[in-house]
Amino acid sequence: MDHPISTDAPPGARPGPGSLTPAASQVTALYAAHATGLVRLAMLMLADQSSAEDVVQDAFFGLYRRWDSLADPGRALSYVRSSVLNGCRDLLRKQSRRVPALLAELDAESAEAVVLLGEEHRAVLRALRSLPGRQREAVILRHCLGLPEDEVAQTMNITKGTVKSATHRGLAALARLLKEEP
Amino acid sequence: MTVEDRLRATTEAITAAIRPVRPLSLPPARPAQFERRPPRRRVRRLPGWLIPVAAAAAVIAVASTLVAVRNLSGPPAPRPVPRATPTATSTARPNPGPAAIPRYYVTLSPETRNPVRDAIVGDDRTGAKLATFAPPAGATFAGMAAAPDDRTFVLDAMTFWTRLNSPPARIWYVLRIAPGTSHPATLTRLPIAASMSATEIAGVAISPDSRTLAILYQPDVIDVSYKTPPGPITLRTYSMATGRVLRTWTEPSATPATATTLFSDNTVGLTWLADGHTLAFVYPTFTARRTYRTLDISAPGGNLVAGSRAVFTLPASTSNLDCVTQLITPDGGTVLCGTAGARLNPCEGDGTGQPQVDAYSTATGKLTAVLYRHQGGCPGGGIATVVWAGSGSTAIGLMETLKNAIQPFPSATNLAVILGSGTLAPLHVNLPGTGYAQGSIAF
Repeated sequence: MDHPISTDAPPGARPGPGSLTPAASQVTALYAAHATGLVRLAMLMLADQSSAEDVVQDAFFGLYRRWDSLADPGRALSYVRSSVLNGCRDLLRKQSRRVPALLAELDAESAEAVVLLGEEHRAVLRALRSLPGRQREAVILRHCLGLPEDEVAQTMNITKGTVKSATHRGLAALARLLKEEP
Repeated sequence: MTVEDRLRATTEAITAAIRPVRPLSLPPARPAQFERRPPRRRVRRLPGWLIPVAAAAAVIAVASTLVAVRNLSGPPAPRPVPRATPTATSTARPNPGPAAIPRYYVTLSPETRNPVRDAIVGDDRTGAKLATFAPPAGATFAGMAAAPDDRTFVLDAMTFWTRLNSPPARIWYVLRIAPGTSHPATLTRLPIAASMSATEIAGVAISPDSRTLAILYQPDVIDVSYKTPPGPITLRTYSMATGRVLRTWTEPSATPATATTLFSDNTVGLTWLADGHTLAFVYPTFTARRTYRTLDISAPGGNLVAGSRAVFTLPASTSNLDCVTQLITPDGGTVLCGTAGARLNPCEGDGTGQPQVDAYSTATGKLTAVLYRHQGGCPGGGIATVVWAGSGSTAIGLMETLKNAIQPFPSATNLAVILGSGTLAPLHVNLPGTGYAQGSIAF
């Protein structure tokens, strides 16, 4: 379920609430409430906070541009979550196009990941990165972020049945991959 | 500990490691004002509202260009040229000279946060820019191909994705140049491919007589909803005079897994051979047995794979990434491979960590020459992208080097050179931006 959007700008928002348009105020409030969670989602996909933040920022920028044409502003979080997923997909795709097989591993072994995460967690990230896209996204949304199946389905724009099968297969593949990890 | 437990633990570790997220930066203008801008702020290959791609893509690639030729004598003021390390496989070949290199090229303007990319026409002998074309409203130029006549090009524009049920479409143009005239470059709409919706363009080639266009593509691939299965991998030839479809070949067994291996631009190395009736392309594109195949297009259309013939299996080594990009020469006798240097400790051992351009004989399948090996210190690896193939020893390539092994973003010098037999010299190519790949610059 999406969270209602506060019309009050969050403390510390930039610039001050008084100078924000209504759309900017709404989007900024949504960002303040959910940016960290969405960055976490993007980090699970990309394993790099800078890239994750870029994707999230651009997703909110896109939301801001489209705010006036949103059919249901109450679904803005779902909208922006889908945008973040799309941004991650596109970034991963461009990386693999530019440097096939080279960056795929490097991202999971980014300096940040090496410094901040232990081997166990990096192994999990590596395994996640090796899953097919749909399984990876379904597993991350369902089991890492804890979203209910209907929200996962809404975010990925697929059916609940597909969510179930994708997560089931993804978990099975993960179990196999993690068992094979040295 | 179950897999679910391990996922949760990793998520918690990431959550704990996240730095404070930077504040959101929104433009000062109201959204409505923003919408009234000319549609020049959108991202290639993604929904228009998804600006993230432009930022992400811009981060990824900074390209530099290196090309080698032997005994260059023509272009003015060549830079001091490094010499490639002689290798056992290098052989003496005649100097092709600057006349063997196409003089005119088309490329895209820089990919920045502004995702709309113009088409730039330039002269690689003088460095002059002949013309710049803006894409149609609501679209960006996305790729191109050149004819051997050095005067004819085809440009591919992609519309922006504004709604889920309105995926990107392709618009095609013929660009003809007439240097020295009052109209040095003219752009004409090519009325084809109205049905190319949500399509990934994998290869574009123009026939030697500049009368026919070949496009290798897969429809219904760009689908964020996953609801539409990808269509068959399709190769079509079109009349460049009328846009009429001439022949169609398909590979109907395409799966989503296959689809993800077909990217835009000319990553399949689609090449129209000099005999005028043979097309060459790489298929499949993402397995250990990537193979250059040839197709006789004088035959009726049909099955793309069954109707074509395997002529060369690309090197499959994953340790040194022997053939990251590839093109076949117009005579079909040589496959040129751009390699990716080893990403870890590239300066160790025999130096094979440096990206290079290799030539393989399609007759023997063996490496015949290392045309160029990058000589740039000890970067974190790099990639050589072959963007034009002349003879077996002459090519134009782009060199992209990485800063270091951990931070994989490219760091490159925008240096264009002519390539061949290990000798380098600069081409006067204006590469104002980043992210050049096969199909995003054409000679």
